[in-house]
Amino acid sequence: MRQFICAALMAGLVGISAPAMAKGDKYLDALNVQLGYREATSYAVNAEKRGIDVGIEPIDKDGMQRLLGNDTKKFRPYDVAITNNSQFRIYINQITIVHAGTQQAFAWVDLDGVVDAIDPGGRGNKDDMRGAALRNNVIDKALAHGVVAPGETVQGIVFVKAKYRDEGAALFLQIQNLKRVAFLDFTLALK
Amino acid sequence: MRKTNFLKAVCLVFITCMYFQASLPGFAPTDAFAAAKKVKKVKPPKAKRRPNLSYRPNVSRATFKYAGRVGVLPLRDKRTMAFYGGEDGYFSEPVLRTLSDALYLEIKAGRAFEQVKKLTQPTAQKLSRKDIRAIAAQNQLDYIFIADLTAFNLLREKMVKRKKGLDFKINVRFGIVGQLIDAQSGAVLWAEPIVREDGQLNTDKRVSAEDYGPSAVAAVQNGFEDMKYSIRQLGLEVRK
Repeated sequence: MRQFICAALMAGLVGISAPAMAKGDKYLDALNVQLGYREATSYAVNAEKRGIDVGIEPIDKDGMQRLLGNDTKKFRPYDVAITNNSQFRIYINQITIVHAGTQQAFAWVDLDGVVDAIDPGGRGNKDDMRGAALRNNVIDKALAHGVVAPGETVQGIVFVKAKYRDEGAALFLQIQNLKRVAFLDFTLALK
Repeated sequence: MRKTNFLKAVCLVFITCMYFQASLPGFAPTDAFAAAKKVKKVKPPKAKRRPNLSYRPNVSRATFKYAGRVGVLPLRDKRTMAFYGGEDGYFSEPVLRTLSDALYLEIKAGRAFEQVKKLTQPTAQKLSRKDIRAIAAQNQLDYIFIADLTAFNLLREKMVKRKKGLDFKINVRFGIVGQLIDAQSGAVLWAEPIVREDGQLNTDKRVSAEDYGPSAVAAVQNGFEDMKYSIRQLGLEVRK
């Protein structure tokens, strides 16, 4: 009888803890989720100049949860893609949020501010692990200044403060030709 | 005997329950069993303990590839994030100034150019061909070297994600995009992104200068070695 009670208790405890063991962490799971790869022309808002296409789309709440683990609160993330259909390598020289009317640049957003806004929470070691994972995730997915080869598409997330968007912000991208110094400017409205 | 076996079984069940942290109402693991410890966030060390980012570059014995004089402009900061926690105050000197000095010294040590001159004027975000010609005329230069700092960050990564305990790897990532431009024609002779990471395991509660200082220097030095090698291998030659 006692052996039966022990066996039943063990089976019950394993059954209760099995979901807890299998439960994932949303911030760690987000590390393995990438932006859907597609060309800039397929984006809702896009522009083309001399074979360079730039596209931008806002990321909704579900997207924030999948890509970053949680809502980004006072920062609005945008999925930006640059496709190089020209014959030359190009360099993303400037990525700035500007006022659509005056073209004056808003203050630069440090991604540490985005991480603090998301604030993964947790206790003790879990908090530290989540914070580290979120920080790495944000920095890896952000749109970076880089070289784009002919035929290549690069993507990244640009974070815009919600109040800037309400004030009529636009994304300003400056592309440099890497064969001979020349620049192309793109200004796309943020919706 | 049976009573002893029963008590052993109950103890085994209790220990198993504590290990898996079963979500029974009113049940919580005690500190004696929890391996997790509170880890302080990485804060900048006191000023006198901050590591130095400067180092002595390796000098090449090869002959120069580009005859003439190159002017090295200061680095432009194009990072998406400061070193850590929204600030750069983790080193004894300002980061951008130290890395700009390192860039000039490394290009000089690489000996790919006959002469190297350090330019101190701030680098504009957009340098047109006209601006480049003006800088070259002012300083008697044949080439201009522009570099953008795209990454210089401290990153922490837990080695075994689901395991409790302190096993974080402290990585320092260093990245630049450099361009070598012919001053007269505006032709880009070399342009490549360089990224390097270096790190070490940290199992202490606190992250100190020793945990990231040597890694930062190693990442920067290796990154610039890659840059010098790339200039020699991929840089377009100029017919005079």
